[in-house]
Order: sequence, then C-alpha cells, then structure tokens
Amino acid sequence: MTETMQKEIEQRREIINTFKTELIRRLNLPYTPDDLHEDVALLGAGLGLDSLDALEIVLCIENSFGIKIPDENIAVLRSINTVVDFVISQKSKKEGQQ
Amino acid sequence: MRTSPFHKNFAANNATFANRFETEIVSRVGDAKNEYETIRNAAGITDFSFMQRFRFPEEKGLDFLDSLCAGNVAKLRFGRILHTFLADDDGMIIADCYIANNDEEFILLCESIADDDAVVQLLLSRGAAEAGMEDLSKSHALLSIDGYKAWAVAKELFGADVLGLPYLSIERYEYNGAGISLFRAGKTSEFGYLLLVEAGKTDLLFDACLASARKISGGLCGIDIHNDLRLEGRFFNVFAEGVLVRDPLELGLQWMIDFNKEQFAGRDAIAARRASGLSKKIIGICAAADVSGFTKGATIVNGNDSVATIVATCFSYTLDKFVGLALFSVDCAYAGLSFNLGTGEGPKVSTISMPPIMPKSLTVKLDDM
Amino acid sequence: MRQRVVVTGMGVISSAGKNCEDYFKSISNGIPSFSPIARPHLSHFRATHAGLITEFSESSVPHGETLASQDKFIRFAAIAAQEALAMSGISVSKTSRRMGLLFATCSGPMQTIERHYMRLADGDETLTKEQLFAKRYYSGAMLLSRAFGIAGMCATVTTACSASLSAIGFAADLIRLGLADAVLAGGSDTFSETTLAGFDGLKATVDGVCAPFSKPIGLNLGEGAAFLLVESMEHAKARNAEIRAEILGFGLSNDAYHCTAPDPSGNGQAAAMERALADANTAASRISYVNAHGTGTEANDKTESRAIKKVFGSAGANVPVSSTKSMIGHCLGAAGACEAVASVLCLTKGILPPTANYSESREGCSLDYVATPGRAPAFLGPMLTNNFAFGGNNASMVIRANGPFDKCNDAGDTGSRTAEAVITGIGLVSAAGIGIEPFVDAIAKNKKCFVNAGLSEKNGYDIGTVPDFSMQEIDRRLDDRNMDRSSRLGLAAARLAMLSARIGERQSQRKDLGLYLHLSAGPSWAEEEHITSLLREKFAISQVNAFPFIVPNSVSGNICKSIGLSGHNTTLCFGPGAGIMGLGFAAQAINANHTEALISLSVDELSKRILSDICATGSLSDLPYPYAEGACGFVVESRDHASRRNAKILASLCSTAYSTKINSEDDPVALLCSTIDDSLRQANIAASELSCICCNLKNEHETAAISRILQTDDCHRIDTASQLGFAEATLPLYNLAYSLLGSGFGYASSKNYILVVFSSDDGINCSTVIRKEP
Repeated sequence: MTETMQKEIEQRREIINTFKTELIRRLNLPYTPDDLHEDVALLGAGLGLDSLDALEIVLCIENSFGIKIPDENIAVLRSINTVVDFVISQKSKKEGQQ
Repeated sequence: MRTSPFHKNFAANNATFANRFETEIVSRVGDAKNEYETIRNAAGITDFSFMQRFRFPEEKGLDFLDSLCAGNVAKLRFGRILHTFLADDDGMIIADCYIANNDEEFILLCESIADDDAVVQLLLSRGAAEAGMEDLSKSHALLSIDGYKAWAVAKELFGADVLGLPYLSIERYEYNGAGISLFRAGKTSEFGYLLLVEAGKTDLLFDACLASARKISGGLCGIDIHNDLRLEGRFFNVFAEGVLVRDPLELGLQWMIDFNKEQFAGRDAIAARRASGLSKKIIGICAAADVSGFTKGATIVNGNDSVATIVATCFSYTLDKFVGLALFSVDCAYAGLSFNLGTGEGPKVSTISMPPIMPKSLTVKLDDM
Repeated sequence: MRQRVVVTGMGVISSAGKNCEDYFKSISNGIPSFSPIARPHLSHFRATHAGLITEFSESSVPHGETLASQDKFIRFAAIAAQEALAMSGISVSKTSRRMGLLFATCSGPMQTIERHYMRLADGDETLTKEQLFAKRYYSGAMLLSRAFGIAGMCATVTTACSASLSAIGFAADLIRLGLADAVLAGGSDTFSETTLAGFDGLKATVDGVCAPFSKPIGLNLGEGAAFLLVESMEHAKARNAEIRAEILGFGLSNDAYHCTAPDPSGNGQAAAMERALADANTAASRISYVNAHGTGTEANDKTESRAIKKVFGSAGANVPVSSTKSMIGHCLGAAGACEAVASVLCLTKGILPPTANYSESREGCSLDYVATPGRAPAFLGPMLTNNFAFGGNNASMVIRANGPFDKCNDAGDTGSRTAEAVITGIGLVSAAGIGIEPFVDAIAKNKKCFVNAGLSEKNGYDIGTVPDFSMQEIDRRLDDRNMDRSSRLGLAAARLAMLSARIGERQSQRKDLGLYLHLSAGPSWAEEEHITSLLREKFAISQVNAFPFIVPNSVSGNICKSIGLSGHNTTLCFGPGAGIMGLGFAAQAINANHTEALISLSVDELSKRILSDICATGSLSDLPYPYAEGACGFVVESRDHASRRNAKILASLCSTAYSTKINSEDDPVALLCSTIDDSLRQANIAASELSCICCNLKNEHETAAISRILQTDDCHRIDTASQLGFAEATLPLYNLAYSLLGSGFGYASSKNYILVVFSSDDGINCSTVIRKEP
C-alpha cells in the first residue's frame, strides 16, 4: 500500500470512528462501531432513524467536527460514508482557505 | 417451476421470462433504459410473485418468526414491517425477508436463493407447521409499483390515505371486491408499494395499476432493472451480491440483527464471527463507462496485491458509469481510494461512498400532495 | 340529565393585550404583536421575535401580597383569572367547594427552574422547601386557589401545548356531571430562554414573524395567560349572569406516534376533532369556523390541514380556518385558552378573526384560510378549536359563541345518560417488585422494602426503589429502549393493568383505549440535561434529544406509543396524592362518555435530581416514611363495556370529592370531614357502610377526620407506606389496590364500600368512595 493511500485511509478511519462513536452515544444505538457499516442508510431504511434523530446527527457533526450542515442538505445524511465525505470536503475547503 | 398468476398479463405485453431458483420471473419488459427511466421518473409495475409468501396466526407466528429471523419480531408494532433476513445454521443468508405485523396475523415475504421446496422444508424443519403456517405462494400474487410517482398510482387505487403511510408499513384495502394487503416498502429508493392479492383476483388489479401508471408515463418493468436500481440505492440484493457473499456481517447487514436476541437461525455462528472480527466486507466501487471486464467475479488489485473481488455490478444511467460492490479486505475497505481492475496496469476502479445517487423521491414530501 | 355548560367570564393577558378589550381590538383587526427578542446571548438563534408581554406592571397583579414574589407564570395567570372572575360577576366565596380550578401549563415555573440550575452550576446546592415548591408544576394552581379563595378541586393539566384546551374540557365535564357549579379554567406560560432554545434546536422557529399556512415557515413563541369562568347554565341563569358562550363538547386523543412530530396521516388529530363533534352531538357540516392550532411549523400546518379535510370531508375546503398564533405567537400551555377567548370575543361580534401575515397558502395546505382583515358572515353556527402537543396529545372543542350572530338555536346536548365507571384491572410496580404477588406479599408479611440511598448526612436515608426488571418479561412486545425511568415504570404498570383486565389483548383493539397519567412532580432527567447543557455551552445548542421530554406528558407519549394507545388521553400534575385525584378524573371521563375504557396511571420516580432536591430541603428526615418510587395503573371502564366483554369487575367508582384549604387559619380536619361527607353524599351512602378506609396513618389530619366521621370503629385502616414508602402520587392507589387485592377485610354484603382519603401538606384534599364488587 502506498503511503498516500495509508494516509488517506488513516484520515478517513479517524473521522469514521469519531462519528460512529458519537452517533452511538447520542442516539443510544444498540450497536458497536464495528457493527455499523459505513454505507448503511441512516434515515428511513437501514437504521430507520427519524427526523428528530436527523437533527441530533447534524448537531453531532457540528460539535465533533466544527462543521455546519445546511438545513436543506439531506443528501449528506444518507449514510455514514456520505457524512464522512462531507466532513472531509469541508475540512479540505477550510484548510485551503488558511 | 412455479409460474405467476400475473404470467398472462405480462406475456400479453411482450415480457421476457426467466427461471430463477425454480420460480418464473419476468426479467424484462422492453428496453432496459426505458424501464430504468420508467421507475426513476414515473411508475413501474413489476411482477413480484416470485417472492415466497406465508401467513402465520399472531401468537404462534410471533414465537416462530422471532426464533427464526435475525431481527426482533416481538417489538414490531402493529401495522409495521420489519426488514430482516433468514440464515442457515452456519449464519449464512438464505433469504431477505419482510415480516409484516397485521395484528391477528404475520405475513412473511421472502426473496430466497433457494427454491420454494427448499424454503418450505427449512421452515417446516423449524416448526412452521406447528406455528400454523399457511403458504400463500400459489394462492396469492404480488404486484409491485415502484417509482418517483408510484404514489399517484397507489392514491388513485386506494385513496389519499395511502400517502400518509410511513416506509415499511402495511395496510389493508379493498379494490373491486378484492382484499389487498398493501406493503409500503420497496428497494429502488423511489416510492414503492407491494400489493398482495388473491390469485383469482389479479386481472382487475393489474389492469387498473397499468392504466393508472400509463397516465403518468409509467408502464411495466421486469425484475432485472430492479437489480440495477437496488445497487444504485445500496439496497441489499440477495440475488446479486447475496449469491456470492452470504455472511450478513460481510454484507454490512448488522442493522437487520438484534444481537440481544437469544435465539434465531444462525445466531451462534454469526455471534462467533462478530466476536472474532471481520476480515472482509463489501463496499461500493465505480469505473468509467468504457471499462470492460467490470463484472462479477473480477479481481481488484492494489499494485500486485489482490484486494477485492467484484460481487455486483450495474451500469448507472444517472451517473453514466459503472457502479458495483466488491468484497474488500477490511484494511483497505474505505471509500475514496483508487485501485486497478485485474492487474496493476488494468483500468482504474475507485471505491465510493454508497448510495451513489440522490433519487428524486427523497426530495418529495408526499404529504404535500 | 347533563347540565349545560356556559362561559360567563373571560380574562386574558398576552402580547396582544392585557385584558379582553385590548386583546379583542388587536385580534379582530389582525394586528400581530411580536417584538424583537434582542438578547445578545441568543443572537445566534434563528428566532428573532416573540409575542412578549412588554410594559408589564407588577402593580397590576392581584393579590400582590402573596403572588408578587412568585414565578411570572403565576402572576400572568392571576391577572387573567381576576379578569375572568370579575367579568362573570360570580361570588367565589358563595360557591365554596362547588367551585374548582383547572390550571394548565406547559413549562410551568420554567424561569424559577432555570434559576435553580444556574445556582447549581455555580455550586450552590441549597434549596429551601419554598423554593422546591416553587419549582413544581402544581405550585401555580395551589397559589391561585388560595389567592382567589377557590375551595373545590385544584388540578394542573400538563399536556404541553394542548393543556389549557383540555383544562376547559375537564371543567365542562365537572359542570355537566353536576360535580361543580363553576370552574375557573385556563392556562399560563412565560417566555423562557431554554424553551426557545429547544424550539430553535428543533428548527421549528421562524426568522422574523410567522405566517401559519403561508410563508415563511416556522413559529414564534408567545407568552401569556387566559382563563374562562365555566359554569352550569342553571347556576348562571339563577344569578342572572351574562352568557358569553356555551361549551358543546370536547375530544382528546393521542397520536401514539412520535415525541414531537404529529402523525403525518392526521389520524390522531382527526380523532380528537371527531370525538369533540360526537361529544357535542354536532355534524362537521354545521361548523362555521375552525380556530386552528396553526403554529406555523411545516409539520403542524400540513398535518392539521389534512386532518381537518379528513373530518370535514367535501365541506373541508369551505370551512373558514384561521390561526390566532399569527398574532400572539405560540403561548404553549396557555395557547388553548388564549385562542378560545380570542374566538369567543370575535364570534360574539360576528367576526371571524384572521390569520395575520397570510398571503398565499403553502404546499400541503389547501383549506379556506381567513386572511386579514378577517370576515363578518351574517350568522354563525358552532365553532371548533384545536390544540395539539408534544407527546402526541390532541385536543379539540366545539363552542357556540352567544350573541346576535348566533344561529345555533339548539341547546347543548343535555340528554345523554352518564355511564357507571368500574375497575377491571390493576397493574402494580412498587418497591416490593413487579406485579401483584410481591406487592401483596410484602404488605401481608410487613416487609420493609427499602434500601439505603446513601444520601449525605450521617448514615444516609432509606428509600423505596423499584428493583431492576425486564420489560420483556411483562410483555416481550414492548419496546422500552431509550425510555426514561418514569416512562418505564409507567409502561410496566399500564401494561400489567391491561393484562390483569384482559383488555386490549390485540394491538388493533387499543386504538380507542385511553390513558390518564397522574404525576406529582414529573420526570426530571430531560429538564436537567437540556438546561445544564445550555448553561454550560452558553446557549449554543449542542443537542436536541432531551428537550422533547421536558414536558411531563412525554411520559404518557412514550407509553401510548409503546403500547399503541390512541384513545382519550391526558396528563395531570396534581402534586402529592395525584394518583387518587386522577382516578376520580378517569371515572368522570367514563361518566361523561368520552371513552368506554381507559387506564388511570400514577407514576413516581426518584431520580438523583429529585432526591438531591428533597435532600437539600432537609425534608427527608421530616417524613415518617422513606420516600419511594413506583407506579400503579387501574383499568377503568364503563360497566356496559366491561359486561359486554365479560370482564371481571373488581369494584365500581362511586364518587370523588375534592377540596382546597384556602385560609391558613381554616381547620384542616373540619375541611377534610366536609370533603369526606361530600363524597359519601355523592355516593349516597352512610359512613357506617364503609368496610375499610385507605389513608396515611401518620397524617394527624386524616386520622382525626376519619375518627370524627366514623361512629363506631369496626372499619379496617389500610396504609402501605410502612412497607412500600411514601410514593407521592401513587401511595393512595397502593392502599386502594391492597384493599381490593388483599384478604381478610371482612366485606359483608352490606359493607363493601371502601373510602380513600388523602390530605396533602399543601392543603389539597380528596375523598373517594369505591364499592367492592360483591
């Protein structure tokens, strides 16, 4: 594995773990972080979370990563992976600005 | 081979049929891209009678189903549907299941990678007869309406109350004297309804659904297109990735399992694998439209190392590229990485976050209608 | 025959006016009265405006000598109550115990509660008894009763945003059933920063000013109080009072769906409206106007519009609908009363009040919304008014405004017979364990079911806690994941009661089964979680999952959802003794034909916060028994219903009498004796027919009153506190349960009556007569 790939994986893994741990804590989900596949649907199907949970997830992302999700951006909340993509893209935007 | 009560209706509309696990399926009705657009933009009517279906009386059925399936059937509320699976003793998936709580009865719908006899034998071997199982696979038919505007068809047939049904719920309706159990479900990531009807009362229902769908530029579809739509929506498909990967943990179906349950088929094997940790899991991949060899069974490599095997693919008309699922070793099962197909010099394959498309249905609020 | 129920007085204070006259001017002209919130530490909120009461003059608060130092929600209430009483011209002292108070609130003394958490954050853990009392939801009702001299029932309805409409409905029942001549009913809530934060976190607020059914989407909070003086037609006529409106019927339901979001199908809201219409014996087609809940949020306005269409059918598109909240904001627990007052004031003058700021209807809202400047139709039939709440509570009422424009020439339905209420099932969750067996065993064998709570001071205190239990062992189909303690205890007791009554065995049979929840103090975890997190984060909103559960009716919401109970539903915070007082309410719901069956449930939890509070006041050591938690549910149904389903009837509920000590110099024993007499008279029995009495044997007032009432002493006394502890709300129900389940009380054919007596330190009394089924 190349070093770049290792780094990318490392960065992603860290964000995934932080998010999963917070998600489980805040929503008191009956799963371990390993149980949560990154592609599982958060709302409706899959984990079957509701609109109140969605608001909690938005606050979870805000507090864990300092990143706000615009109200209408429901595409971000489709799966853990889509959340993580959003966090990574916003982080790199921020870093780009600095 | 079991044929569908809707066979003649689809045959009259130039459908192509196929045999899957000794069950006849309507594989296509016309052009694939047309079918795709019918569902993504309008409403597609598909014969889902291939699903095995069973009815259980409440009290005995509850015990039986709860000790059989991975999810928690006991906590399933009246009028709701549980999406779970049925595994063998080795904890390998045999069927993807919907279990509906209709108060005095439970209805089990199965998509199985085994034929009817094998599924029934399995159920019987676990006490289905004592639980009062009634096999509806031949006595009843299943028609599905899926699509961005599928709700309009359901509304026309059953009234505006249909719009208030939450995803994964069941309601009973009358249509022209036929009692219909309507499952608000679906795996296309568009609106979906499954209609369970007596085999003798299929014609009127079929005609009404088709006529209503046609009003909104909808029409008939085959099952094959559903394979593609499921993949685009990252819905588990037991007939695609489920044929090659049968471990629910590798498939990422932990959410279908109640790990606190003391008993369900395959529980011990699954619990043991969960405790020892995963070495592989499936994740999403994509490749450019001109790539050849992006097919099931193909190998994905990182330099000289083989890291994954492709287990499901489709061409996404929305993204204009191939998307798929591959079974990766966990140390590189992350989205956003680049690999090669076949050899180190092979075409580029990227790992992606699923689901890769944003269906229009998710932006629609049915209660505005 | 049922009494007709009329309104003879109204009072209001809100951002649109501090009395009915000013309020009418604003509302009838469609003038919104929002002001900027303008608090720098809240500037990051989306909400910018609220319906705030400005230029509030403390000198306008009546009974200032006792009320001026109290929480603002009590002061607001006093102003509105004073106006309603004055308008009605009723002599409160003359009505004596025949007059009651039904006070509704969503957030209660929230400003006082917030200040307590601020002190805690500063490390100040002191709390006096007075401060603890001031934190209680029921404090307002008790202080108002005393200040205005209302000597009958004193109850607090806490179903959040549907509370005051429910309170008016309960008042109407008391009148109809002849249990009172007059009832002051209404609600009060104040603007609270932490409440605003909660709504802002849920993204329910609007930036600017709201426009219900139109745009922009979102709500403004309001504050205020409103009261109606509800009276029997007979009583009002006898004293030549001006009749301003008539209450024709009301209906309640629970969505059994979600803690904050309404069931999008609108079925729950429609059920409340349909029950109100049925109660009023009125067809939807006769309704001339709907005063909508109309908060302005996306979920409410859409669901309510759908529900109205459902109820009104094809006429739905033509019935005029408007939202008073467009002018005064969402006054939460006061909303129902504020809106009822607004509607009656306007309809009396032949005006349909407008929805201010309404331009065009938003998606999903397609009714005939009355825009500014309102309408003036020639004649008016009855109106319907709605209020819906967190916890799935829905309330709806049919009212006829009296006056020259009134075309309802028919009288309110007076012909309905009353149904007899019987008990068919008991569910027990106590320090002794789960179910009847450990309960009876502990009492019979005099087991002290206490553990050391290890609370500060010397050796620590004993408390009665419910041992760990699994909900699935009671009913494996119950989902109690993520439920707070009160909800779990209540769920267990409610379900056990159903199982013992064999009612609602199928999930589909629970649609019309009701639930009345009776609390003393209510749950505390969410309040602590929400407020301390806001204080810690300097009002940055970091979580939303506690706020929906602050309201006491969230407990009922959890239970209804878990069991699937969507019938007649409410939550009452009576304070200590709530369980037995609420059982009387449950009987009235049956008597008045609101439902054929419901569960009357009482819950006490001893959370760390509640214990610390009590401990800080030093009153743990004052009590003759250890504090305890627990829950008790009774299935109450009509005798007809019970017979139809061949249920075993345990007892019938004969009567309940209530009283409130309004002067400190009054003799508490004499008052309690009169209350017991009231209950015996209503039940039409003599004291000599009592076979046992449930009471607190260490309460001197109770024992003295009982001795005075009983001529001879051949009557059993039942007090389970020495075994199970002092569960504030539930204890009297434990006693009653033991009198029905225990053995050896020698019920003879002529002596099968049970009396339950309760008298609180705050001066609230209740006496209930129950007849054990022979």
